[in-house]
Amino acid sequence: MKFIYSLLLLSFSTLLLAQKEAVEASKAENPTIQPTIMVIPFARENQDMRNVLERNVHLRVATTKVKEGFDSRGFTTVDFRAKLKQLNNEKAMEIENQSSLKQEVIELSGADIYIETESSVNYSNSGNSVTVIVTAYDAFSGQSLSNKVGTSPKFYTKDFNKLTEKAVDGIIEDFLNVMQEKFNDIVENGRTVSINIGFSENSDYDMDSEFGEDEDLFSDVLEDWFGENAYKGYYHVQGVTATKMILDDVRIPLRDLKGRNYRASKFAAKIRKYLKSLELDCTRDVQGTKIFITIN
Amino acid sequence: MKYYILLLIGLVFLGCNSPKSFTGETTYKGSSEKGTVLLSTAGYGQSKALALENAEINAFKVLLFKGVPGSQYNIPMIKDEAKARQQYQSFFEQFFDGQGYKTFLMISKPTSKYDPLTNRSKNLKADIKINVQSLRKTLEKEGVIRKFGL
Repeated sequence: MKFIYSLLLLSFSTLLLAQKEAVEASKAENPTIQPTIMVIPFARENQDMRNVLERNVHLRVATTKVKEGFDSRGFTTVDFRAKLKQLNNEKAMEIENQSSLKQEVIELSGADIYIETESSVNYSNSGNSVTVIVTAYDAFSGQSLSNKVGTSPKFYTKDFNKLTEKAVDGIIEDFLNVMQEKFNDIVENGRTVSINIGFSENSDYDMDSEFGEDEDLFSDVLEDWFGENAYKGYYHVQGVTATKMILDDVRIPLRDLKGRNYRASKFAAKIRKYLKSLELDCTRDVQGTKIFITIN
Repeated sequence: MKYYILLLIGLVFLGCNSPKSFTGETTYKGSSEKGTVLLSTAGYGQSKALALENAEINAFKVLLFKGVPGSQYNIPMIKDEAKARQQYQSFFEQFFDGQGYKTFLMISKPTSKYDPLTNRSKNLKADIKINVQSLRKTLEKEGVIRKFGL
């Protein structure tokens, strides 16, 4: 009997080890898809972003130093100026609203995260200094990932490029470390997606429709499902009306059980399958980490 | 009885010889070159060499597991010390006991006198400069910390 137990234990542990090895091998084959990061200059409303960058040398120094910081950690960023050049020149010049140009560049670049960099010169009798503000945003959710303000020491100089370098050098490590903390949190607690569930005009259903034997409201049925299917059960409902449900933070894993990358589109497919099991026909759109579900 | 007394004396002697345990007596002094950090730290020991070694280890432990307030490294490089030490036991044995940390040491300079006759706590203050960039790369290579990104 003891022998059988030992044999069973041995085969079970071998199975577990083999499974673990398979997942590790799969991880090695499919490295985690890294977010695309772009460093952009800060521009005020109605300011032409290209003009701001081209006229302001120390702002160019600041954006380059920030990019350098990413490079030193072995992370390549998307070049803003190269992407800007990709946009049709005339089109870029025609756009007066700065925010729309920024949005366009971000969308064109496919950047998941953009780093806004601002620099300003401070003149004083005791010497000049430069202040740099660096902020990292998630391009889709708008969540802030890291923020730092750095000021260079005061010097009796007009070499603002050097002062800008000193200001960025004083904060960049800390800035990257905070970002890495957020990335570690994503690895541990999952990636955030936002989900917008609505109804087509001709739909016979709404959020107050009753489902199941207990005649639960559709919104409650959905909440239960997200509670069971969100990564570690983490989800947050921004609001529910009779015609719409918005979940601004639903966590999905970075990888599936086989170690493959888990995309937002996979989670959208899972939602669609569930709705189908409730005999609901729906369409879905996925934009980055935003999922739109329309029930017909 | 004689053996017990000898054993007791031996134990007391051993206790005196071993450096005091890890303390947080480490403060930020500056970062003149990118990727480096200069720390002011203190160590204890029965000899000057032991006290200096203890000071160096203190500086590394604060940088790795606690973070250095006021510096760019205020977030510890390793979040969960107990977990990391358990998971990468051999690495840390080599790093601290095998003095692997010395390869990241750029400057180790005593800043106070070591005089056990006047200084009963047998303490030595020192300035320690660490090559953080190289340390980070090694930790990443060994898998102790994650590379930048997801």
